[in-house]
Amino acid sequence: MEDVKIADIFNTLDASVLLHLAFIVGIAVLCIMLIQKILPWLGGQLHDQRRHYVLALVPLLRLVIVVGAFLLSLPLIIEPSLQNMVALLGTLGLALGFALKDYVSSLIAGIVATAERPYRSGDWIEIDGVYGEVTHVGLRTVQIISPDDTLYHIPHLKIWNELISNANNGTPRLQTVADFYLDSCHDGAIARHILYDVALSSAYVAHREPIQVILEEKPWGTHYQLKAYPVDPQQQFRFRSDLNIRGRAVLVSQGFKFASAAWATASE
Amino acid sequence: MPKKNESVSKPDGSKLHALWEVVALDAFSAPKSSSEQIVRKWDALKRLFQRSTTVGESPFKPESELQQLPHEFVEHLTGPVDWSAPLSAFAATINGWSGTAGEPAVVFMVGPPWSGHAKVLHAWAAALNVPCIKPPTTQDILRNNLDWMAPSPERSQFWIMPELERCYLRHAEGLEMVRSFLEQAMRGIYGPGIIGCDSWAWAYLQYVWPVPCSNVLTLQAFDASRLTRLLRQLSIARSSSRYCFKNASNGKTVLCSDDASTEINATVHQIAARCCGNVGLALSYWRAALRSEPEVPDEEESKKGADSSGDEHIVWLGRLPTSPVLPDECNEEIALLLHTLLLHNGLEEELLHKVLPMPHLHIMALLLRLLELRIVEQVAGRWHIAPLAYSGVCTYLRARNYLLDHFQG
Repeated sequence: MEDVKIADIFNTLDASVLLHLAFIVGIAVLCIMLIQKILPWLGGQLHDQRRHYVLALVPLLRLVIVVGAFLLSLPLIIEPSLQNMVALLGTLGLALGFALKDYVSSLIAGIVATAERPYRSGDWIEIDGVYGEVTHVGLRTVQIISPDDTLYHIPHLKIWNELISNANNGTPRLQTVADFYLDSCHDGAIARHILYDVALSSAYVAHREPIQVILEEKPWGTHYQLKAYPVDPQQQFRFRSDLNIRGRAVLVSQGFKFASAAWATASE
Repeated sequence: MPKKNESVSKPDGSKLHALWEVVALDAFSAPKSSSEQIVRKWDALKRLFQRSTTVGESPFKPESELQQLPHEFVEHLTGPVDWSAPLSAFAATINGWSGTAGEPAVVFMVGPPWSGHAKVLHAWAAALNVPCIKPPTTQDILRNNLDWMAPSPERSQFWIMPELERCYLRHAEGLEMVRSFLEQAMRGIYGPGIIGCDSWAWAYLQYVWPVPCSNVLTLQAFDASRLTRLLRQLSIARSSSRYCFKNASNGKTVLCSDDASTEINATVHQIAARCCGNVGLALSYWRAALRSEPEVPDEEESKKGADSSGDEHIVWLGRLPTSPVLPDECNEEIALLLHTLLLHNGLEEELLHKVLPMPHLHIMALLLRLLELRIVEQVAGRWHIAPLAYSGVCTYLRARNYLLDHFQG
């Protein structure tokens, strides 16, 4: 009896309806493919904030197209009355809830991620211990490319209960930290001043952002953290290397001694 | 402290600004042209899609029928600017300033590359016969040695330092000396002085040792009106012949050397807007656009013709040169190199590897490639951005969020 009722809510799918459906799906797929090709390419040509805006448009436009295609297709498949909708969605929900729970959860999380934007293309995020740049926010997964050039596909459902850290949150501001470990016997004010100038004189530094030198006393010496922002988040590793190379060279030339590894290991 | 320079009345009663005007840095007003902005955006869009387009409109004088003028003739037509001309404007602006009794001990004169602020200061030092301080050596900078700037025996003696950008190196050990120098100069240890600084170095030094901005001057932008007058002056300064500059695309007269009209041609507007009022850049564009017909005499004859009095010569103005296209691959390294050159207003090649995170040979490979593309040039051992590539380089760096100077808006 129930089967008959469910079957009754569907329209007759004749050739013209199928053609119409195929047309809608085809156009939607074509639009999504074009958006997924053109916007990332355009984003790659741009820099600064504009790059993030353009890349963030991809999942949003795709969602709009999917919803639009669904709304256009629905009246072709069923008579869109409240009763029919409740019956269809209830049945679908029951089926999907058992069979494709995680898949559907990821799809819904993908919609939530588009609205809440915990990550966008171009962001540097860490999920489940994986750090990298978001290259694509798909319907079900987010793609991250790590600094060692490994591509990770992470399902959106992680946003429900995993800690997600976003280093730049849709902006070109991404703080980079370079660590220096010095022997305790030195003038901290001079070391701090030198490290400040190391960051200020870097070719990568974003001048409009603050530069900070934080130091912390440890049993084995002093731990310095030089915090600054590169012009482009993609430069963060080169920027850190540059700070370390030049910082070490200047500190050595000024007679500073670095903390001994044996001391640090013993104290830990 | 800055005082407004006087204006001159035009025949129609409206005010005509003085050719040279010295204003506070914040009062600088770059000429704008909506058509020039559209052209720039269109060029940027074209570069984005990497497609070359051809101009459909048929020109009055096709470029192929014209030839570049000999260098000597170009120099003859747009001969050297008299940099002592702005001195009266400068003197009027700082009139009454003595650098004592609570007044700022130093006045800064800031200008973008090729705007001539350093040449004005050199000319002023020569005219007043006051000490013109030479920049320190690289060793002095890296060792924080201030001996090169000995305090004046008489603290009231006036001094001029035209190139502050030569007093630092963007290096971890290259900033302390300029801080010490600025601190002592502003405290009046060296007596009253005028310090010239390139605008890019000035923008960077604001982060090294923030300087109060109340006593910072600059040459006012050369708008189309000023540029027209200057071009006329230059073309009549060295010859009694009459020169008419005509636009090759439409045949219209841009300006004539002895013309007293105040009408401004659109081409001059375009040049002034493209160069943001930078007089040196505008002259570079003007010189690069000058053309002649092939039958015009060769180098020797043209010089002879230019000297003959009573003659009228037509000089064609071809399409304004476009900024060379910067290579897109390895763009990060190129951007770092170009930005470094601008921040130092040019650098010697042996210093480049000290301030860039690249090995010397790699820097040289990039420089030689950029030299081939006419984006950089080497002048007196220093690598600089080429004048005609300057606006393109600024756009390139702006798009990548690098620190820009005050004059880039």
